[in-house]
Amino acid sequence: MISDDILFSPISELSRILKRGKLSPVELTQAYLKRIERFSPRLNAFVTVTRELALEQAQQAERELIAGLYRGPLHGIPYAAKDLFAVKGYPTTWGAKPYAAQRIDEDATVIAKLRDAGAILLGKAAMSELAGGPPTASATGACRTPWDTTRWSGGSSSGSGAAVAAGLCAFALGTETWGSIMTPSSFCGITGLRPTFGRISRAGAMALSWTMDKVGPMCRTAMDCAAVLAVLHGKDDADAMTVRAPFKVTFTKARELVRAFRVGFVREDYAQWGEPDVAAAFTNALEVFKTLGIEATEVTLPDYPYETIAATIIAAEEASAFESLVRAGKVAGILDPDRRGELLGAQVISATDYLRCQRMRTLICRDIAELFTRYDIILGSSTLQCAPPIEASMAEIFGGGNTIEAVENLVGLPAVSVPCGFNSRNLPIGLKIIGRPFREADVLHMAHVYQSVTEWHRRRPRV
Amino acid sequence: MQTLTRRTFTKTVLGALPLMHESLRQVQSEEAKSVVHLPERVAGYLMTPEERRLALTFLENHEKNLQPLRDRELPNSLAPSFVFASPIIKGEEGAAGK
Repeated sequence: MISDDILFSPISELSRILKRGKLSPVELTQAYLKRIERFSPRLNAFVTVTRELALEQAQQAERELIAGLYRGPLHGIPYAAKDLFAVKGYPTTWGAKPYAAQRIDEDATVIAKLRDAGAILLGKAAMSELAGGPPTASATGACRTPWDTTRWSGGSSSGSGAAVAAGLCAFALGTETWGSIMTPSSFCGITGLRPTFGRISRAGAMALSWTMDKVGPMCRTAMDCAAVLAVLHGKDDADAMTVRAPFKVTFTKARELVRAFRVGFVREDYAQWGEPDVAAAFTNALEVFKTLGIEATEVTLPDYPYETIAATIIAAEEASAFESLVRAGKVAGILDPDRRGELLGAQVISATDYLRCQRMRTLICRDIAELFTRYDIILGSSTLQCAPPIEASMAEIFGGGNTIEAVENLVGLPAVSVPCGFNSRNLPIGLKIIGRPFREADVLHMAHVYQSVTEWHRRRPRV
Repeated sequence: MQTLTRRTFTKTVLGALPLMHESLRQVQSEEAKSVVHLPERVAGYLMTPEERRLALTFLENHEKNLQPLRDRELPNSLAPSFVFASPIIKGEEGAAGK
């Protein structure tokens, strides 16, 4: 019998034991499937479990490993994918009732890349409907954080966060347009990477906003995120926004490397928008870096209405992306009334308003690029609160603060969220490490160094 | 499926008409006060009164938020970021196009 210790192991550890033949990919896959069967219903973490495919891929991995054909660190590693990635032969629901029966007869580029790397797909993880909305706005019901099942796992990569945190898979794929990897990583106490815009192909993934959608791994450690990104990054002709840019990270001499970084931090108004425990955890994280010889200085962001610009761009692009849903009169199937209003109302956002926001985005990109000539890394809180109750509204969860989140997503900067503490209710708190474009290695090094001197990422919830 | 007899039709569909008219009147009255213009149909779809109300709420917020941006003068040469850059912002490695 495979112990929980194994199922909660990072990819690097699982990979080592699989390669040595101490553990079989089939046994590991069966153990995760059993755990999914036991715990997923409590969490609403999975929409579809791809059992047959998982066992088939596990058997293939086992045959190959025995034959000495090693495909790399993800060979034989079981994972989950947010249900907006197309997987041939299985439904792809986008978390929304109008698409409950949708089947897309192809594999998304990331699914194909992971298959070729020998990874094993356990299932499709739950998500907020059409990648947005409050906790209850999901066709499969609110997804719960394993730290407290009366509370939300975050969105929109809800199931990806919950599944990794509950030990239902070794890692998961998520996507972010505006906070959808950072938020569930924070609420679930896991390590999530949102790469630079254009780093990972979105071909075969649901489009919400063509100019803001990003794909990223959600894992247990920064090293694991690096292992997944190493497989997924690269130019893909099927996604015109992808870029051919190298990604290399070794983690050797990480401490020396990060000591040379010029680090800034964003001070949030926790008193008005957040929790005192989150503020305290952030201050403690700055202290941890100080002991490592890294003194962070406060950053002042250029003054722009970032949130209005991001909201307008997303609303206009999603109105276009889901125009056929509106035309077919199926918006009524969307659970969140505010989202129904947005999908309908945004159909008449003017081209001049949309372009005005995109033009102002140009100014923002220039100013943030200038800011990053003075900093290598900027630190912030992943979320200003911990996991909220299932009944919470969007205004209660994201009512204000965290302006940097809109900045990062408008500019397309890479960031990693790592656990940095727990509040008085034993709910995890996230620290966000933001870097320059295509410098995922910097944010991952920084996160790795933090994780090498702290234990927060090793804590496990009692499901 | 329930068979729709003349009696149930009169009772359910016709009975609901005054309610629907009232709801429509309310939305129209709200719209008259509103600063936003919403056509009867969006993407060719004729909205229900409730959907119109939700769409109007969204648009009113949108208008309120966008107004300060519209007041800002932008130079003619300032192009939208997606026109000339893919990805949005190029880093050292991205710009090198390696």
